[in-house]
Amino acid sequence: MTTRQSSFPQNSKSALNTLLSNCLNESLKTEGYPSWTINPIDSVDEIITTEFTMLTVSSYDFRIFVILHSNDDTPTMQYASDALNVDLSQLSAATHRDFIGELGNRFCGAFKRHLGPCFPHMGMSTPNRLHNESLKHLKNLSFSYDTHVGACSDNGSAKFYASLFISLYDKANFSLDSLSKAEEQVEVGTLELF
Amino acid sequence: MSTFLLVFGGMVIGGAIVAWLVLHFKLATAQRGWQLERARLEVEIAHRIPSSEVEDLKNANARHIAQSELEHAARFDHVLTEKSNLGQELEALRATLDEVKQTQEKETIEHALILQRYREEIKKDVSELFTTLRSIDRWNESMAELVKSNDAMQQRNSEFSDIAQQIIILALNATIEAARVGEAGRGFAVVAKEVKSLASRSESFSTHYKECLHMSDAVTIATFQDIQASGKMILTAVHALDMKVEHLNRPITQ
Repeated sequence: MTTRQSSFPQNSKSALNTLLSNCLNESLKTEGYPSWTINPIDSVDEIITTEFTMLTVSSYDFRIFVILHSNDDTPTMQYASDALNVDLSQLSAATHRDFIGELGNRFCGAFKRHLGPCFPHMGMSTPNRLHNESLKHLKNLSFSYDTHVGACSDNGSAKFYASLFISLYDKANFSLDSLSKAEEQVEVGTLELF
Repeated sequence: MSTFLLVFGGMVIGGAIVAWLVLHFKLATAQRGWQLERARLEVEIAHRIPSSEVEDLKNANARHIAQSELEHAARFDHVLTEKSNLGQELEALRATLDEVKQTQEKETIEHALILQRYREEIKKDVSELFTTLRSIDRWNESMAELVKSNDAMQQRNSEFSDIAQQIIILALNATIEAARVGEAGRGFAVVAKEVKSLASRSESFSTHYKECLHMSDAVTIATFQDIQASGKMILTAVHALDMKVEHLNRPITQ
């Protein structure tokens, strides 16, 4: 992986890690799954899933790939069917795919919304679903910083993972100071922050 | 009763007349006394101060008065002159002020016209920017087609890989059958071996092609999403600019 992490501001790293956990927790919470345990993951290579949903947040000074890793296994489909209030046997592959896409959209939307006070001009893409094999090629692109977390529901075995891959074009303009203060006040529940 | 009132009234009026007469007499006596005293004092002063001194004093007073009148007249002339000068300066200032006002009004009109022209140009530029942004939509559509095409290629490659694997199995079967018939099947065994070799190479190419397609997917999606997100960012920024231009075009009173 080509990264320039050493040049990435340390306080921004912490703010992004916290934001990633908060946004994943915020978007995964449903009535039946109110509590999630979120842990940091050292490397994206530790994430083994069949596919991932990718979105991009772009600004003048940076590009961020926001990725939600998921499986097509029974616990994940059970989570989708509970969230959609549909019987598991009635959940088609297309409906599950749409649900995961919408979940990725909600997760990335929350991330962009939280970044809003720091960067007024941003745009967000629509989600695309990619095979996990594409991830190793994606991570070969040049990034300034990448961070990953895993989420496990406290009342089941549904698991999701999330990653951020950040490319900075102008390091001087990338400051998350106002974000750090705002995120400190967010209620994190059972979140295990790092 | 009325007779009593008449008598009483007559007594009051009569008493009042007598009192007035007494008072008038006393006043006349006092005035006469004051006049006599004044005459006496004048005679006494005349005897005390010599007439030459009185004449000198009179002359001195007359000179002083004449001098004062001259000074006052000179001061009055000076004031009149000052007034005239100030009036002239005031007129000059008014003329300058009018000139400045006219220049300012002219400049204000010119600036307003320039500003109006710039507003119209910015409005036109913003409108053209919106048109330019349509090209981003076109790129999005093209990229979406590319992504679809990649998906189709993945599926076809998967089918191709399946076919290659089936050919390998068939070649293996053919090799086994050729071995079963012995010497007669030796030629056939060579062909089956070649077919297996070709199928293996095909599968290897398919695997490599699959990797290439995964890489193409990653790069295409990354580029596609960056264009899409940047397009939305630019669109939002242009909308914000358009609103500011609209605000500029409103009259100040609104």
